Amino acid sequence: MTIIENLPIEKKLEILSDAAKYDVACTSSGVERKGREGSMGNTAACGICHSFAADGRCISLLKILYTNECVYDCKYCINRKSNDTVRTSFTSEEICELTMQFYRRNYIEGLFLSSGVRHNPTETMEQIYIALRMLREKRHFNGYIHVKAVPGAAPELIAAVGLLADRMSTNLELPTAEGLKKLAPNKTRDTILKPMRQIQIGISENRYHGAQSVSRLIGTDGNRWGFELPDPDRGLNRTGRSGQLSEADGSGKNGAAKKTEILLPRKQSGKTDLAIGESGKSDLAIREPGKQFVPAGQSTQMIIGATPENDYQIMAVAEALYRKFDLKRVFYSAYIALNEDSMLPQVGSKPPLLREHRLYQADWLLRFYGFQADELLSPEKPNFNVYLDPKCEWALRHLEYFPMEINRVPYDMLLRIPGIGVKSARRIVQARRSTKLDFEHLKRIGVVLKRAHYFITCNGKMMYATKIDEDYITRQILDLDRKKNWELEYHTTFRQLSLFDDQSPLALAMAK
Amino acid sequence: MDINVNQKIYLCEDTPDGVFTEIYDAWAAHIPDDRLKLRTERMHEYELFSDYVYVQTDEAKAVKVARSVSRKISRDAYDMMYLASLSYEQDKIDAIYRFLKLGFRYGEPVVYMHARKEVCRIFELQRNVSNESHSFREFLRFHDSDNGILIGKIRPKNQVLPLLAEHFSDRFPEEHFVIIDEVHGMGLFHQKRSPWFLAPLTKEAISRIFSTCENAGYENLWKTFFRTIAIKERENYHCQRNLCALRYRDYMLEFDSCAK
Repeated sequence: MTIIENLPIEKKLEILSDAAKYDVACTSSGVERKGREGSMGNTAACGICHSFAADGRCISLLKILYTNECVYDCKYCINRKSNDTVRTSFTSEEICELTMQFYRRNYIEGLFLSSGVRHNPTETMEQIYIALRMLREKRHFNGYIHVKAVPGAAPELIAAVGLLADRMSTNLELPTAEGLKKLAPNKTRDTILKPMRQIQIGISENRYHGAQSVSRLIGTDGNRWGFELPDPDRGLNRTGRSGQLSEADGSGKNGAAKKTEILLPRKQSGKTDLAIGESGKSDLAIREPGKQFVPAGQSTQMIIGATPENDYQIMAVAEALYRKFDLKRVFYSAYIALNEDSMLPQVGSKPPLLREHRLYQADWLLRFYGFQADELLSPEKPNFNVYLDPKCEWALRHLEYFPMEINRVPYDMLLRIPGIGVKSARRIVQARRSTKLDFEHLKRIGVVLKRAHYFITCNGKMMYATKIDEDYITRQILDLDRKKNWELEYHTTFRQLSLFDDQSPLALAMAK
Repeated sequence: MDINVNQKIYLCEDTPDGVFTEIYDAWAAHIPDDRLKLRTERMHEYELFSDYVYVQTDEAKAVKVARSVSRKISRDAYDMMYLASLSYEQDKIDAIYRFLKLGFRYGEPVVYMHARKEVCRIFELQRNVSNESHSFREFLRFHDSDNGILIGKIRPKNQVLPLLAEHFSDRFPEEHFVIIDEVHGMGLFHQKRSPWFLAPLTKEAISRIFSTCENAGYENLWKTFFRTIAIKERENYHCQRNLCALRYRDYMLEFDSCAK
C-alpha cells in the first residue's frame, strides 16, 4: 500500500473520485432551503442533477472520499486493505476549495463525502466533521451535503455531523447478516444498524422540538468516547488524540451554551471532558434554534449479486428498512466484479444491471404505489421476472381485479393498473370530477394506453375487444417490450434469473 | 387547409407583457374564435386574406389581465398562463385565450379539467417551459471571468431567463453574474446583493462580454472528475443522451461537443 500525501490536487481528485464512484446515491433532494446573504448556496426539495456521466448516472454532488486508506478488508470493495493501489487523502482545505469552486460554476449541487477507515472509525468521522465544519462555518457553504456515517464511529461525532449535513447514509452493504460476515469481516450488522437508529431518532426529534434529549440522540453508551476534538481553525491531527485543544469546560456555562443546547453529555468533572470551547466555537454539536438534524433524511445501499440472496430477501430487507428506520431511500448497487476472490463472482463478469433495474422498479412500488413486498414476491417465487416489470407481473397474476372502471375505482387501485403512474392517476381523479372519461381523454392525460388498455374500461367498455386471459395479455405485452432485434421465443414458463449471468444482450436492451 | 376570409390576426411583441396585452385587446373586440388568430410578431408568417392588428404593449392592460385571472380563476391558472406565455410554440396565445375563456366560465376547477383540449394544450405548453428551465438550472455552466464576474450562456427554445433569475440570485447572493440567452438576445444581470434585472442585448454586446476568459484550472478539474466518476462496466451512452439531450451540451464543458 503506497500512501502519497503530497499529490497535486488533480491527481488526488482522480484517485478519490474514482474510489468513491461505486457508491450509488447521488441525490440532492429532500430539503428546501433558501439562500442567505453572506453565504453561498440553496437547496431544492426536488434535487438538481448537473450532469450525466458516460454510464448514464446523474452527477449531482461532488462525490469523493476523504481518504482511500482503509484498515478494513471487505472483499467486494475496491479500497480494501489488501488491494495494492495508491492511497491518498484530501485536506479539509482542498475539500472546501473544490466544493466552493465547483458549486459557484454550477457544476454541482453540493458535496457527497465518504471515506475509507484510515485508523479507526471515530478518527475518520472526526476528519469528516472537521472538513464539513470548515465548509459550513468558515466558507459559509449553504448548499447540499450528503455524508456517510462510518459504522463504529463515536455517537457524539455522528450527532455533530448530522447538524452540518443534509443527508446521512450508512451502508448496509449486503442484504443479510451472513453475507456481511462472509465478505466484510470487520463489519457487523449491529455496528451498521446502530448509527442508522441514532440518525433516525435524531431526525424524528426535528419534528417535535428543537431541544433534544441528549441521551437518546447519542445512544446509550456514548460516554465511552474519551478524547477531544480539534478545532477546525487549528488544523487536523492524524491520530485524533491531540492534547493541544481548547480547554474543557465541564460547567458549560459559556454564553453559547445558554442560548443553545449542546447535544453532548459532559462527563462528571474529570480528566477527559469533551471539548467545550470558551467561545462556544469549538462546541461539538450545538443545536441552534431552527437548525435541523439531517433534514433531508437518511438512506442506505446494498450490493446486489455479490452474495446469493434472492430478490424476495432483498425486498423484505428494504421494506423493513423503510418501515422500521424511516429511510428516505434504499439504493441497490449491481456488484461490479473488481476483486479477485474465491467467494465472489469472477473478475470481469457482467454486473447484474437488469436485476438492479427490477429492484428499483419494485422499490418504487413500495414507496409510491402502496405495494408490499410479499405481494410482489414470495418464498415460492423469490425472483423478479426478467422480461416483465414487477407491476405488470403482479397485474397478470391478479387478473381477478381487472378490468377496472376508470371512472369509478379509487386512487389506490388506479395506481395498480399497468401504464398508469402516480401523475396520471392523480390527474384522472381530478379530471373525472367534471366529466366522464373516455380513452381519448386518458391519452391526453398521459396514460400509456398500449399497456393499460388490457386492464381498464371507460364507461363500461374496453378499448378493443380483448380477452382477459393471462397468457394472451402476457404475450401482447412482451411484444410491446420487445426490441426489434430481440428474437425471443416465448414459452409459457419464464426464464428464472440466475445470479451472476442474467445479462443476455437482449435482456440488456430491454432494460433501457 | 381552411382559409377564413376576413380573419383577424393579432400580432404583439413576444414578451409576457405583449402577450397579455394582446389577450386584453382581442377579448375586448369580441371576435368569434374561428375568425381570430393570436400570434407574436417574431413567430409569424404573413397570411393572405387577413386583417392584421398590431398590438401596442401596454403594461396597464397586461396587469389587468394578470390580476383578473388570479382573482377570478386562481393563482394556479395565472401561473400556468404566465409560463405558457414564455413558450416558443406558435399557438401559445391562442391556447392561453381559449383556456381563459373556459376558466372564466368554470372558475378555479378549470386547472383540473385535464380531459378538455384547451386545458391539455396549455398544460403541455407550461410543462415544456418549466421543464426546459429546470434543465438549464441543471446544465448551465458559469465561466469565471478575469474580473470575477460569472458568465453563463444558454440557447433555450423557450424564454426561460426570467425563470432562472430567482433561482440563481437566491443561490449566489454574493456573486456578480450574467446569464445570456443567445436565442432571444436577452441578458440576466445580477450584481452582488442587489436585485436582478433583465435587459435586451445586441450581438455585439454578447461578443464583448465573452472576450474575457478564465484560466482553465477548475474547468480541467471538473473534466477530470466527470471522466473518473463514470463506471466503465456500466457505460450507457443511450441513457446519458436521454437524460442530457445533445442540444443542452453546447456550453457544457465536460462534453467534447462543447462549443466554446
